[in-house]
Amino acid sequence: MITGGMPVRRVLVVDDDPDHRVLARVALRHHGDGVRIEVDTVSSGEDALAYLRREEPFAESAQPHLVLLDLRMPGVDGFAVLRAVRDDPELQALPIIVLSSSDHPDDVNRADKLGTNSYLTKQQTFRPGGMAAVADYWFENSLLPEPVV
Amino acid sequence: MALIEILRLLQVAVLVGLGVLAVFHWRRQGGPAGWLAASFGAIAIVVVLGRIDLPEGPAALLKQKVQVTLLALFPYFLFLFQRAFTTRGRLMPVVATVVTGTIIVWTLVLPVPVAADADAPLYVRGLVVLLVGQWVVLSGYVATRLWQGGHGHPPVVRARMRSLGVGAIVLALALLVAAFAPAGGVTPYVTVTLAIGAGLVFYLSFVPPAFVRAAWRRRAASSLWDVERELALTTTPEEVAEVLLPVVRETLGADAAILTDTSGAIVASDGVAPAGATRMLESDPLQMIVVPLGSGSLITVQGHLAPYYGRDEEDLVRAFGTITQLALNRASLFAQEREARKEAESTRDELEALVYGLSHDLKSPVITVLGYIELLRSDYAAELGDEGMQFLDRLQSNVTYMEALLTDLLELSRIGRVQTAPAAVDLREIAQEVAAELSTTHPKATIEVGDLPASWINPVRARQLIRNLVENAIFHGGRDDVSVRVEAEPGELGMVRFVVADDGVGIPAEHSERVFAIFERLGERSGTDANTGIGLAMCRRIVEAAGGTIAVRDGTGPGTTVEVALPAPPHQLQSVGQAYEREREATS
Repeated sequence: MITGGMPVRRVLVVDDDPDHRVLARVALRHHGDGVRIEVDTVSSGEDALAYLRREEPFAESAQPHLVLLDLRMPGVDGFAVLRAVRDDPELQALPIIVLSSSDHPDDVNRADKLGTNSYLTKQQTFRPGGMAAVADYWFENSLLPEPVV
Repeated sequence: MALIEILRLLQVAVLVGLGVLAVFHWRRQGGPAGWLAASFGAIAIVVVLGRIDLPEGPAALLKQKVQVTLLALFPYFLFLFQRAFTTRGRLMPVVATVVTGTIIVWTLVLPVPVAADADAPLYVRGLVVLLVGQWVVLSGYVATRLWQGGHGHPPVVRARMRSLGVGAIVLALALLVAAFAPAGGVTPYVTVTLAIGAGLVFYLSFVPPAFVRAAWRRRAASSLWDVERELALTTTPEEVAEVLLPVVRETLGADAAILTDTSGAIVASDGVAPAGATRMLESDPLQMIVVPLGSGSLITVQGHLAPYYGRDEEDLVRAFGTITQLALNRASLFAQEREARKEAESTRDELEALVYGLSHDLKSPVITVLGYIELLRSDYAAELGDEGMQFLDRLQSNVTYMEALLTDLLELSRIGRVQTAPAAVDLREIAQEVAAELSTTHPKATIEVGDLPASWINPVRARQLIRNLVENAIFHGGRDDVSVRVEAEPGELGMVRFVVADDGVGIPAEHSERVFAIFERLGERSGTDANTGIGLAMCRRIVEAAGGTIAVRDGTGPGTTVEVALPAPPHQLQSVGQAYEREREATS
């Protein structure tokens, strides 16, 4: 969808911590030359899956271009969301970046095996320029797949 | 008085005494001892009757018939005694009864006195042969059975059974000689001597004197030394009982050896099942030695097969009791130590889990605060102004310190739980890598790495250890151009030793232990210093988990020297025993 000349990029932030949701949103805001970034947030793994599948109460949601996914959440955690998305034929190709406070190699490996596109730590991301690489690759790059509507 | 008369009197005394003893034994023991009382009672009556001189006539004939009848009954009663313990063979009782019955009937019917001389009628001579035959065969049979039947019983019991058998054989010999050897000459002496000898042997089986019992017990008593060795390995009351009770029972020839606790409940028993032991004790057995212990009692129960107890038996059980008590005390100490260790470990596990959980949970708000600080710094610089920005700097520095603390705490609590498998690690290689890494962040410092040996330690922990040590040396050196040496020193058997030495400000001697405590810092924390003070505590945990030691060397010149000893890899160990221990630990 093109609005006012700039393409829109929708990002879904999944995190149970309200402050981290704010910081992610703000970090994204600082980037995106040439694109307009719309950020939506959910606070749990269950909500994330409902959003992506457009189940109630997210029936009106639009498919995001990119998902920023926290790992440690109560109930359905980030690993479970990752597995569910990769197992779903309609959601398989969705670009997902894990954004976690853990830098432990076990978590990185596990996320890798479950099919995450990339792994970022919050410590490095919530600072000036933290989202630069993400923005450069996923937003400026016009080869970003247009999500299935 | 002629010698033969003296001997004859002696014979009477011995055999009558034996008869009386056998009756007393029966009154005390009950059961099969009755047959023994009957046998020896019979012999006693025979020799007493022999002393009574009657003129030739019906009285004398009757006397002789009674004597012969009783003589025939002696081996028969012995046979019946033996049957109480070993009941193999269905034929023998029938044969014995028939033959003995025949002899008795024949004797009673006989019109003339029994004699074995050549001019006695054939049927008389036949009776004598039958009698002697019955004696010899039955005695031999009983002796054999008693000899064999001793197997499986304690040595004292075996010896007693065998004495009975031997006595029977000797007495049979006496009868043989009396019946068939030419009268006169040495024959009476031989007969009497054999009879007395048999009587004495019988005495041994009834009332063996102390030194005889000790000799019989000697073989069993040697196992006392083996017991002491095995006892050193026991750690529970059940194990103690398992080692001790069979030896006690064996040595004393008891039917059962029982261990009870202070309330009288059976802890363990040998020779009888614990349920049976309760019944046995309640039935108030005839012979029981009870030795009170601090934590209960040691009880031995004699059966009817073993000799009477004397003082030395009681002393022996008392000695066993002392050993038992010592072993039980040791077992209880072991149990206490096990309990205490389990409690300490579970407390430590709880604490570690707490630290781990807390460190994890504290991470999120720390990340949040740092994130907002960055936002303020980048988006609100103008509103904050110079002073505001400085305040932000202080905020950031402190929260960054919190973050470093949490990371280190997390790592500290993981040591000993994760990453523990040791391997042969080249310390020099690790030290060189660490030196290279740290040189880039501290270009003015000098780090020299000597020829370090290999060690048996988890590689990840080894790297953490050396990195922490060198970093610590650099940070606490006090100046940018501090010089750090990492070099090997000779180690003791099975260990390798190295030191990390710097030429910085050094640590005062009174603080050399404090530096290993968590969070101890000797100086002020400077502005950008991210050193949390956990570093050396972590080093100590790593070293101790690997089985080594770490310490600050006492005031040697400027600077600080930290000496570390770690285990050497297995193939370098000098002794096979240590290598075996290491292998076992690695694969357990």
